[in-house]
Amino acid sequence: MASTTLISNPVATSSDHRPSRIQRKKKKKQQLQAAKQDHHNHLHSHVTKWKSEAQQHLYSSKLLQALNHVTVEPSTQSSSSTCPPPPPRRGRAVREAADRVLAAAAKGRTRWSRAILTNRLKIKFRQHRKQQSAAVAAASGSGKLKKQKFSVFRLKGKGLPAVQRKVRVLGRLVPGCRKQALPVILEEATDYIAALEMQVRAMSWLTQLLSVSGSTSGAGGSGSWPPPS
Amino acid sequence: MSTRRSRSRQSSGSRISDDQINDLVTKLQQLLPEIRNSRRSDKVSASMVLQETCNYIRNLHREVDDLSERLSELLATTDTAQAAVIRSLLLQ
Repeated sequence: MASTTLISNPVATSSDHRPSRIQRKKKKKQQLQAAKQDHHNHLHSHVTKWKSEAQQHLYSSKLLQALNHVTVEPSTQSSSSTCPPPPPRRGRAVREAADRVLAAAAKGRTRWSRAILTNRLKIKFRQHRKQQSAAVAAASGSGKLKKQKFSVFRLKGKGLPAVQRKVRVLGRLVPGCRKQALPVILEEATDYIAALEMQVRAMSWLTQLLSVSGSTSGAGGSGSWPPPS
Repeated sequence: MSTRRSRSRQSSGSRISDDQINDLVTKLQQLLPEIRNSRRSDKVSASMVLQETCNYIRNLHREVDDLSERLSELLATTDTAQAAVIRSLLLQ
């Protein structure tokens, strides 16, 4: 009896408009278990998403767009001098743009991506809205902290000082995970590593592309790439 | 387990099982190239996985920084028209 309700469940939702109380209870239990399963598959599917070539291409093109804005902006802002900003700041700007595009590619589903994007906004508006953003951060931070304190105490199994220390270090490395519980940090780290690997692949590919095109244009003319037909 | 059912709504509830943690640690282990290639899976402790994870993330950060430097130099020398050409190539 239980097995038939299991199989016929998706059908029952559409056709049977009067589910009995027992069926509703069973459905709820299965939904909870399915949610747990979904959570694991959820993480796995996101991690594999970072490995796809389409994602890499998308990231590369978006990064290029963002970088064009970065190189164009400083020249328009600096009215007095026409020389480009000094190299260290340029490299830093490229890194920040790359991180921003990476976080945007995550579509806000992970903590580290949200933390990167809100950090950028905070730094940008720091002069104007200093108190407002600080208030918002404090409110959300203290609300989360209460829950997290309780869960950290319960993790007695991982109470070894060595492991705790490493977990704290890892939490500092992954953006936005300084005060999170262990499983959250592990999940975020999994996604973050996959995303970083994609970032490295895409940027090295772009570097290769730009260096090749740069050398051929130096040789004379852009006749190396096939004309559109 | 009645507690698990009531609290399993949030994944980071107070009742986190060791199994869940071990599961996450193994998943992390699969991503790390060093541990995946060289060692046997039973010799790896959670502490080692965490250490390797930290090192790996630091390495990736350093690589991204180096690539950013190179990209910034290349962008300075290359014409913006080149970048537009490349972009149109990518979007096709």
